[in-house]
Amino acid sequence: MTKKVLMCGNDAMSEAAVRAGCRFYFGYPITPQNEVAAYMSRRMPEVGGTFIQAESEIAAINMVFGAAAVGARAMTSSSSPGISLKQEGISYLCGCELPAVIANVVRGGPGLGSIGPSQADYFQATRGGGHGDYRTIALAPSTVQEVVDLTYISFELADKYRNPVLILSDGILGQMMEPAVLPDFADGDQPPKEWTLTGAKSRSPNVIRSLYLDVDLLEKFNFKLQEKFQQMEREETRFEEVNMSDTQVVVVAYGSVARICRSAVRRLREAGEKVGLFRPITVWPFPYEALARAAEKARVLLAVEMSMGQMVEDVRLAVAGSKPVSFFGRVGGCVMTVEEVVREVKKLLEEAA
Amino acid sequence: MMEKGKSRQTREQSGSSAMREVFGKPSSLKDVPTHFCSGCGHGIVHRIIAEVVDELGIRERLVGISPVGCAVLGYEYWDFDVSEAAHGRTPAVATGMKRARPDLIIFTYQGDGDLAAIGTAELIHVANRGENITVIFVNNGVYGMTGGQMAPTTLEGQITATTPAGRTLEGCGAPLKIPEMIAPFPGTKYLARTALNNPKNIITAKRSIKKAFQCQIDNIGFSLVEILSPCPTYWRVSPLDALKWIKEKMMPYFPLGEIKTPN
Amino acid sequence: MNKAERLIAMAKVVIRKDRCKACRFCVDFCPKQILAMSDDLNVRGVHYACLVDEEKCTGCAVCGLVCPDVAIEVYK
Repeated sequence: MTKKVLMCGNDAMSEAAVRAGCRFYFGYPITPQNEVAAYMSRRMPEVGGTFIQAESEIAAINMVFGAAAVGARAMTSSSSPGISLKQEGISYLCGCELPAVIANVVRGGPGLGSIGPSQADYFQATRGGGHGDYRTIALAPSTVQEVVDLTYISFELADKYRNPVLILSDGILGQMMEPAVLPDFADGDQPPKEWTLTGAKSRSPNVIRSLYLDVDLLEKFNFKLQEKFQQMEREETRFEEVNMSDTQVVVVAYGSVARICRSAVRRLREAGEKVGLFRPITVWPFPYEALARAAEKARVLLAVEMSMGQMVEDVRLAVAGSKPVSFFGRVGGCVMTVEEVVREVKKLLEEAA
Repeated sequence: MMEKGKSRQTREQSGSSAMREVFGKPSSLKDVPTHFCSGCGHGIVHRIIAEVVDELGIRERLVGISPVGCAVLGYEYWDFDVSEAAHGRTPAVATGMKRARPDLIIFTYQGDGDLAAIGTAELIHVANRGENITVIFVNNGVYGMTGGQMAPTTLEGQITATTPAGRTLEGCGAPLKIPEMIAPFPGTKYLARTALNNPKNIITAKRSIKKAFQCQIDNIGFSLVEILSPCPTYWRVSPLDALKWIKEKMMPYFPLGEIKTPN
Repeated sequence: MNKAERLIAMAKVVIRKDRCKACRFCVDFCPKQILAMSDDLNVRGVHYACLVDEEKCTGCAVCGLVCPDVAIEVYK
């Protein structure tokens, strides 16, 4: 019988990372993800890994860069303002084709904001807060189990594409405790990486670089990166549909907001309303085609987010003007209630009638 | 014709013993012309590092990290594994590398902007943690690559693109003395300042670099070698006058010597 | 030149003229002052350093030591 453990999201993320083969964690304290660093500071020595509390979030992402360059599975975590600091590093990781996992336990913003949960880093995560043409897979767990499962595969995805992977958690998921099944420890043997810097023994030197002063070369390199991103779009898009058959209103939500919407949809269905939930699990690549298909027979979509409206833009892109798209959000660390979502959906049902 | 080569090439000379090469390109340096200006110190430092790498036999376990600055293209010249790093983050990258692969010899190569401006926090903390890496700090008192702006080591009164009236202590602060700053940290083990202004000092610089690498090889701990280096272009003097500048202006403020050695 | 001088003179400097950037470090530091700048120009458009009195070269390699461009090889 598989054993379930009761863990908070931050601890679960850390343990899943360790089981996925991550042996290098570099972090810096910031609420609401301090549990990750604390857990890693205790756990890494237990598994022969390394923990450093770096001097800043910038230093931490660059330590990840170094460890990745020599072939290690490395991770950092932070929350919104600290993730802003890491943007240069993330751009460099993409430009140098280095694998890495970066977890953002999103909090209220902008600026110093609040320590409550938020989803207002969606643009930053999906449009790339760093400079240049790059993409990162952005995984959006909705339960502590999903935090475990998605963190576990993030390292594989990072290695598969030689690209950083983002985990978009939030202040609720990070702190809440739920039972979860932990995966087995990943096989110690990872596929060999011929490109790493390990000392030029019996081979010509390897170079890790993102500088291409020759503009034609840089253009060519960007096309090469785009091929990777297109492959990610084809192969890594993940989503969930709940009660989507015979739906009038499609609620679109991700992360912890999706849990609230799931309850709202259930309540409305029990009352006989035709409402469904479409939940992106990767917010990049965003499941545009699947959402368009799912919404074909619906009358209206409602994007629900803890932001002033960020994912809603992708919902509008998905339906390309064929359906009206509404938005409901709470910000600043405030969390919408099931009743509030039910009320918003009912408003749309009335208008549509 | 003369055969050039790595060592012990011989050539018959009429009626005398054969000649062999006693000085030439080290094998850890690629045979390519560099982009550095005439009289720039980077060419000398790149070469003496390569000589030390050859002499210590560490090429196959070595990783260098080039900075943002005139020396960003280190990988075009050095024939060993090299990584770029974001500006100033070089010591953090080195930390990640060394922790993941403590068997590798890791060195950073940084200019005064990379190390003492944007990278100050990373430098302080890599030194304070006592990471077993080597930092080569090339101090030419200006930001070369971007057009000669003031650097943290620009001298008082020195005219640069952003101090057209000369650097003033009031407003700009005093030039930073890096080895002295980090010497009190227990984690720092070998700290030296050298210069490239004459053959004797170049030999001393090479000797210090060798000692620094040996410090890492022997697992003693963090080492840093500062090298006062000429920038004729942005000091707006001839290369030979730049060497005089080092002697007359820089060395009185930045004294040469071993600031700290392992006991 | 007597025999002793002839033996000492068995040293030579080879300068790759197209690598030379005319910094003049070698000319200035040569203990025997037997390097000088050429009359003609190299591909870089500068006068390059040359060995002007091979017989006096001792193969001390100070020129190679100070050259930033690895333009100099020394044979002895």
